[in-house]
Amino acid sequence: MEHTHDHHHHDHEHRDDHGHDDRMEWAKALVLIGLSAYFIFNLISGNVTNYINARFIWLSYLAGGLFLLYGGYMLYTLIQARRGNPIEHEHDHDHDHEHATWGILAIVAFPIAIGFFSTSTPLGADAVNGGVSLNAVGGENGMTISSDDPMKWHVLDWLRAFGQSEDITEFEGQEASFIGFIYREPDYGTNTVMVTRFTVNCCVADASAIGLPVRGEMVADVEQGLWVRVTGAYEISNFRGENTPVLVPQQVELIEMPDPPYIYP
Amino acid sequence: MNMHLEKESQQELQRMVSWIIMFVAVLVAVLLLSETGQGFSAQFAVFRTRFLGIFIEAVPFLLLGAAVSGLIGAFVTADSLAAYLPRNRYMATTTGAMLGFVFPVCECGVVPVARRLINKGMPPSMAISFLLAAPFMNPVVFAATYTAFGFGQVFFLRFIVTLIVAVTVGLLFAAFGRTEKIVLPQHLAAIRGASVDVDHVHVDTSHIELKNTATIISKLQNALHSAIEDFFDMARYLIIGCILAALMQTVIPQGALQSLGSGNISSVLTLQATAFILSVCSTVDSFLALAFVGTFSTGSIVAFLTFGPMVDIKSTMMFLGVFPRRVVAILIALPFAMTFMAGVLINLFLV
Repeated sequence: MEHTHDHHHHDHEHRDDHGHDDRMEWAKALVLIGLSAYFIFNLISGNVTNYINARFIWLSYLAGGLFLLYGGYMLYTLIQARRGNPIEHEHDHDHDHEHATWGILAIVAFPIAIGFFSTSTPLGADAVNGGVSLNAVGGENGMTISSDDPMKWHVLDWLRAFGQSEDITEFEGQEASFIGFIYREPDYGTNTVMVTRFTVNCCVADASAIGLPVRGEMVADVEQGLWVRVTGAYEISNFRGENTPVLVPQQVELIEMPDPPYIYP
Repeated sequence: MNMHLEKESQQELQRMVSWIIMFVAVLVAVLLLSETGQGFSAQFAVFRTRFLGIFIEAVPFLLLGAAVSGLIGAFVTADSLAAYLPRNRYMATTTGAMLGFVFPVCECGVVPVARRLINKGMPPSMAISFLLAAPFMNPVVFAATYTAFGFGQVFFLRFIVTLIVAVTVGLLFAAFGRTEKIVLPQHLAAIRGASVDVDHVHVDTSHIELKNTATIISKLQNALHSAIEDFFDMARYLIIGCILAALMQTVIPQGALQSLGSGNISSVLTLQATAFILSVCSTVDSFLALAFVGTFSTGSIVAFLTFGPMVDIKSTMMFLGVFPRRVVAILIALPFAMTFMAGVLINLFLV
């Protein structure tokens, strides 16, 4: 702490309270290291795919690295200063930074608190806001369907196929097998659920819920939000006032949540 | 000096109070969430996931923006920048709008860079053109828009509307705004240089001596140091913005928005509101816009792709760190009105 007296030309108003300033600098360094640790933790645990599209994972490596660099550099300068050979920074007099307060530090530490100290959960049935859509969404590859084999199609592939079809009745009797979580609303009708997925283009900010209607006693009692694989055949029938392919399941199997939980369109 | 300090602590107090009010508002909103039927813990988990998603996606760009700003601070001198600045205000604002090709930053990173350029003596009007245009006018976002839409109507309309809005707003500030009124006083040191007090002159001399002897290593250390300061200056605005965006997404029913998609006017307003609330990074908003093709009018998609990168919840929060509230209001209102008009005109006459 004594070092600050060594060069008076660096003294300005907000350096008056040296002890306070010093504690604040250490706290800032720790917040940066904490944020770095959170990004690294997310990458190691695989939780990162609960939040963003896998093709942007490199951004998290970048953030983890830069936070480590920033925090590590701050620690280095603080330790050097404590040892009596402070690193001189050209003080930017044409650029007065507002000095940090504990309140500001608390806000910047908020993501660490909320990130580390509660379990990471992907968006599920509770996050469906404004209903599940039957419309296919576009993405990086336009409206391409992922496979030639319809038995491998996921919810989005089916919706794209329905959207591209001239005559929806061609899907009558078509067999299908796909996964999703159970979602139901009162007006779906008896024994009817939507087997739902979230699509994520970039991060969960743009998540949208899409689903396929499934009707049968086999799904009637499955709890909202549970992940299932449904296998069966479509029949064209009325769902919320429209004629659309509705899957009649021959088999419903409870499954683990897939990893990643989202479809990347 | 004492008057100056007193004024500063008063501002500090005001700022504290507004933060506290904001936090109380957030708390009330969180409590309201618990009333929506699904139970507080379920809704809180959804909010948490949305918040961390936006934060994890956005913060790398803020870190990069801070790094770019730090490097400019260490390696670009005010004199060398001044040599490149066009004298003519039309040239200046147009150049400002194109500067994203030199400093490729999205809307999370553009604010610290723009602030730094103002500090180095760039006229605020030019920096504002840069601020509004750069999140689209850069190679990364060009590539993303091309991937999503090809070199079609949407790409060219996005380019033209962004350019017109950014240049016009910049010119309006150049014509009617006085520099001291556009930027918060603490960022104006370079411009008020003539009137610095004796203390500062003394420091500035030592400054020059330092500069002459500065090695690459010490310049990089300076860059790192000011990148860290920039990060702490801006991160709180980003984080509060992420909190608000995540809350809005969790509280406002999206179905209510989507039923407005086909009207020539309602569709434009709807997607502008969506862009503002979602606060999605400009590097990926094209892919998000793809989801609206078909249900929403072309004009509204162009409005989404032009208004969103200029203004959204998180960038508004970051603007507040650089500009007075009055200017922030103008920076929201003008791009809003202009992209709205562009969207409606496209719907009526082009499509």
